[in-house]
Parts: sequence; C-alpha cells; structure tokens
Amino acid sequence: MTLVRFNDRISFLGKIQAAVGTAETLSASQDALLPYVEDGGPAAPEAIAYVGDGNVGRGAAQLVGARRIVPTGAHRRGQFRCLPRGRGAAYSASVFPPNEIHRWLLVSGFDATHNAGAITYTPTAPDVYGAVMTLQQWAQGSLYTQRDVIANFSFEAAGLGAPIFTFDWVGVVDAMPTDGAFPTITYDADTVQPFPTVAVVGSLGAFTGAQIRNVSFNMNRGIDTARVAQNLAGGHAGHVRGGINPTFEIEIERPARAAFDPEVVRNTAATAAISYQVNPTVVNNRFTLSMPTAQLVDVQPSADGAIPTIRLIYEGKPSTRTSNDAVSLLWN
Amino acid sequence: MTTTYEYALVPISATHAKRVPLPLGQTPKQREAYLANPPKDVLEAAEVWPLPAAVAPAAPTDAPTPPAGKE
Repeated sequence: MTLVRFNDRISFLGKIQAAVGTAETLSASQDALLPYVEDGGPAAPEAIAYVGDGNVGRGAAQLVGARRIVPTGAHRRGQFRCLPRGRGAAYSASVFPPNEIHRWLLVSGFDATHNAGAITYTPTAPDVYGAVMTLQQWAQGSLYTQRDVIANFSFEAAGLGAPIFTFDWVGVVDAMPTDGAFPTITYDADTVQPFPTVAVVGSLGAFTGAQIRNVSFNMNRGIDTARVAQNLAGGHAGHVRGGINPTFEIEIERPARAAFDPEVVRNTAATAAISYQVNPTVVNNRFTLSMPTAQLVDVQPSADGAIPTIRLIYEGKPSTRTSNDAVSLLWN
Repeated sequence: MTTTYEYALVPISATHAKRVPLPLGQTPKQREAYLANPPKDVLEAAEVWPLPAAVAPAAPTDAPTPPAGKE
C-alpha cells in the first residue's frame, strides 16, 4: 500500500541573496524562519504558476487545443505569517530581531539601521533594487525552492491576542519540488515568546487616550511586475517592486470631540504623528510602528452593540517631497 | 545593485551620525572590527542622519537570554 504524505511539518528557510539572480545555499541551523501556523489542518502549499503556460492555440484540424509546448517563467506566490518577537537580548550592528522578522522585512522593502541598542527599519531608498531572498518551504512532504523572493509586509492586531505579521511573497522557481527530507531546524531566538496586544501605547497625534479595539497595517507594496527575459533559460528574471502606500487602520471607541475630532482632522487634511507600540515595557521584545507625517484619509463611524466606535484609516506620507520617512518600525 | 541592507549609525556630533552600510555575510566579530574602523571612502560617502532620541538599552526584564545572534 502506498503511504500517505503527511502534512504536519511546515517549515521555511530563507537567506538574503548576495546578488539578484543567484540563489543562496541555505542552512537549517542559520536560516530558519519560524512560521505561524493556524489551528486546524495546515493549508496546502501554493501552486507553481507560469508567465507562459505553453498554450499554442487549437489544433489545425480539430476544435481541441493543440499539444502544449513547455511552460516558461515559473514562479510561485505565497504567504508567510509569523508572530512578532524581539531578540530578547540587546540589539547591535550584528544582532537583529529573529530571522523571520528581520529577513522578511528586508525583502519587503525595508533597510535596518542599528543605533544604540535599537534597530530601526525604514523604507529602502527609491533607486535601490532592494533585498531579495532564497526561500525554501517544506509542505506536504515536499520541498519547494524559489529565489529572488520579494514581499509585501502587513500586520494585524485584532482584538486581544498576539499580533500577526503577514508577508505576501513572490519568487522565481528554477526547479520543480522534490521529496524533501525534513531537516533538523534550529530556530533563531527560540526561547523568546510572542506577546499579546494588551497595554499597547497608541498615539494619534496629540490624542493619546484612545480606547483601541483593532489595528492593522499594510505597506501596500506592489510586487507583481515580472521581468520577462527571453535571454534567460527559465525566461524569468524575478519581480520588481512597485510603489508603497503605508496604511494604518485603527478602530477605537468614539471619544468626545473635545478630546479628538477625527472628522475635523480629516476635513482639514492635517498631518499627525501616529505611533503604535506593542509590549512597551519589555525591552528587546517589543516593536513600535511610527508614521511621523500621517494623514487621516477615511473616518467610518461604526458600532459594536452598545459601544459607538470609529474606524480610522491613516496613510503615511514623507515629511518633505524628497524624504524617505513615511513609516518606520523600531525594535528596541 | 547594492548588497547592503543593514546599516549602523556612527555619531559625528551630539545630534548627527553617519549611516554606515554594513557588508552582508560578516560574522559579529568581523562586523565589530569593520565598524570600529570603517573604510574612509565608505564613511565619507555615508548619508548623514539625525541621531534619534537616546534609547536606553537595558537587560531584558522578563525574557530569557537566547543564544547569540546569527546575523
């Protein structure tokens, strides 16, 4: 009898590439990315897709399609989710947040800067290609490998519980999946636990007294444009990132207008410094999202039973027309 | 293309610093040595950044110390 392939091991390894187009060799002890796997049966891995699917039209003498030629431009899209954690030890120029945070943020269009025990992630300069990663994924007993992976970063902190970071990624597939022997994996900062969204510190400009219910953030980074390359064997030279639109959505209880009047703020296109810090009292296991020049672009009154609430959407803007400071993430 | 996505601020005054790019793939020791004496041309070309408000690094209060970083 053929034995079933199990679906209970979900693992990722990922390493920043020294060069675009050249995959890295990954190490199970150095490059592990700890994923968040939801309750229930693990989701199936994402399918391989093609730029050219091999279709060459219909047959000359039948209505049925002609036999396809080989497909080209193989790539995969997927989603990596993890729970934010800090390093649990002092940061330095060579000690960053755990791999699943640090490396995914780098390929999501951020650069990391160390200063005095803190790491700040800011958008990569606009004229720079940005980091790309070689990513291996074990799922359903198979090993999927892709290179030149880039991603878009978003997170959600809904109600109480741990925030969830999501990285929607896309990468080039050079070789078909294999029956991958599952390696012994060493996770980075393995003993540091994620943290819940209680006692968070949120500031909406001068208003710091918000009763916060839900928060989400999305960089809205375009990752879709494929570099079609007839000159390459696989026909695919990776994906090119598009623009960003850092968007912060927060649901709070409706405050008195004397304290905070979002409709007026929206109506005047005023800018405000927005920040949201989770686990603020635990040094080296906390993070702060900041948008120093945010604008309120949508105000939606809402309700939860008897509680009047509002949903606010802020967009991060650069402080000057040429600045690159629309958003930052601080780990300290 | 650049192969640098990690930087460190090297103060040049009380309020400003040079943002020095750090080569990928260095061990912590190599990186320490590199930062202690960054190449002159790299330092000259580095962007000037305002130093953020001082952050007081402190020992973790309730998180155990994990193995040393591998970056």
